Amino acid sequence: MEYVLQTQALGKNYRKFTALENLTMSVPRGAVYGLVGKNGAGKTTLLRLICGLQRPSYGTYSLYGHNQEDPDIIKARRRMGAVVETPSISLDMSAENNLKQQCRVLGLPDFSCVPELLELVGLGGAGKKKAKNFSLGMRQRLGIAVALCGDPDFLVLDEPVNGLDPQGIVEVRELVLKLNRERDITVLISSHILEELHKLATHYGFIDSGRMLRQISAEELEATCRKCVRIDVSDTQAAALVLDGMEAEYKILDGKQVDVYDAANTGKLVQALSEGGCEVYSVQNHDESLESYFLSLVGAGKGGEGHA
Amino acid sequence: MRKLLSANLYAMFRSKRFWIGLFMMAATAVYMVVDINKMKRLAAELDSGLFQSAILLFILLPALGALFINTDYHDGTIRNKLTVGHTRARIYLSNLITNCAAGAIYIAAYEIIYLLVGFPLLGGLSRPQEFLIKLGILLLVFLSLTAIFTLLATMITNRSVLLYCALLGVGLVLAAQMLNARLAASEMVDDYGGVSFTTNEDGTVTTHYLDKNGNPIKPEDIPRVPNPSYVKEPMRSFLRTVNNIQPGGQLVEILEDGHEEPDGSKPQTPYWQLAAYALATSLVFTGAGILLFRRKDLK
Repeated sequence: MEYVLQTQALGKNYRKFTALENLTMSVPRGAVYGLVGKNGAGKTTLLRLICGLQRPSYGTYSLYGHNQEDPDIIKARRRMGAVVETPSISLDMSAENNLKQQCRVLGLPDFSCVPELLELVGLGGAGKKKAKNFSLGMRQRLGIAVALCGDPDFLVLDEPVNGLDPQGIVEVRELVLKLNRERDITVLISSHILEELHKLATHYGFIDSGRMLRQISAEELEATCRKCVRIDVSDTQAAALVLDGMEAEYKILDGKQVDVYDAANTGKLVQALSEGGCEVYSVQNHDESLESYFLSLVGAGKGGEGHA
Repeated sequence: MRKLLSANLYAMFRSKRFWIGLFMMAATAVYMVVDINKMKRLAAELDSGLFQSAILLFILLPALGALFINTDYHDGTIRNKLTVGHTRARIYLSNLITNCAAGAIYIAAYEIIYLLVGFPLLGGLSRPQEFLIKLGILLLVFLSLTAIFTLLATMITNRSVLLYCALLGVGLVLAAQMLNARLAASEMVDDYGGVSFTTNEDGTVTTHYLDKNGNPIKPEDIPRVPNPSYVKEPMRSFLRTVNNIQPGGQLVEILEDGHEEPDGSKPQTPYWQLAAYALATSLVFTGAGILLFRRKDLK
């Protein structure tokens, strides 16, 4: 397998604080690699190192096979774009000028890519507008457009949906998927919003306290985890009695919600609950596999009372 | 480097702050001509105001230059340069060159407008060759000042650096004037207890010196004692060298055509020496800046 990025026992210390510790990871070409971790887990530090904003305290990383000390890593960097933390845009410039400015930084011969990029990120009508007047979502999309200048084939996105409204989240998600599928761009995306990552990632890296806990592909994760249905009920006590009677595996989340695992026949389940005096308000397939998997990895699974 | 310079110059030329600075320099040039023209009867000439904008530029350039670099940090756009493979040395040098270019444009704007407005009102230059030499040295002085504030603005990423850089220019000039005043203090001073003045019938004033006991003493009998403020060697040579090296001292040396010595003479540090010091300062600060920037963790 060809890897765009590989790190080997990478570490970063800030005086006495260890932000990254012996982190080894590999991002395959063509993947959407989801970097999963709590706040402060070391995700942004890792991305800063990869982008050359900081130097590792120890360990190495390579981009397209070029080690960080290799002078040719400059060429490898030309093939990447990044949005680390906040979008890197000049607030006093229009969207169009921000892109032109990045074209100059890259030494592109002309600005022909600018209208296309603005269209791609959904800012086609806002090219003349100053970035300081943009909403958070628009700034985020402009940041991605800037990162896409120079036609990179590796995109690094740090918490791209943080602070976005639901529509903004969907737009960024669709954009990332489009870039990955249509332009074959490898994406390394960090997030602590697991539900969102689950809709995007083809590979995962779980990071906690600066250490890589596990790397796993989406297929492997699916195989490891189970599906469940999440039911909103009037009385969880009554529901528990019914589910115990059915010998179902379930988990009570709070006073109104129950997750039922491996529920083959939802209709039968709803009928049984109704007959047991438990009113069912809603039933939805809930894929909490990534969340459960992550919590089990970091050893913080305190989401509710489990029954089998 | 060419790419970074192109991006930097574009950002600079479309910045309102740059144009406000340029307007200030142009306005100062016109004001100076008008002001000198008012004093024409006192044999004022075009040459006297040629470099009077330099002190203003000593405050303006570090503040604007620091703001230019700091905005790159503040907006995060420096990340766009690093991520796509520009080396830190190139980024640092391109910022330095951009700030130098801004300084050179400001000086050129002042001189051109000053001369254009000044020629019809004040006549031609009496010492054009000296003007050109001084202009060359002044550009080098601003190069060394730019090297110093570029280092500061690159290493300190929060907005407070703007204040530090604006104060840097003022501080260097004030420090130079204080040092010059100390170095001009005479070695021996008159030692008397007091002075009294008497107004004569014809309106003239007679000065009477008194000894420490309050008794009148003739001026020729006043004892001479060593001046405690006099700076002795080797500190004297050291402070003179400091003033010759630091940009504020160099500026004062150019503007005042030399420095006063305790014996009343006004020697001038050779221009070649000022130029060499300015170049050396620029090289040292730029080298140190690049080394420190390479090690700096950016967010």
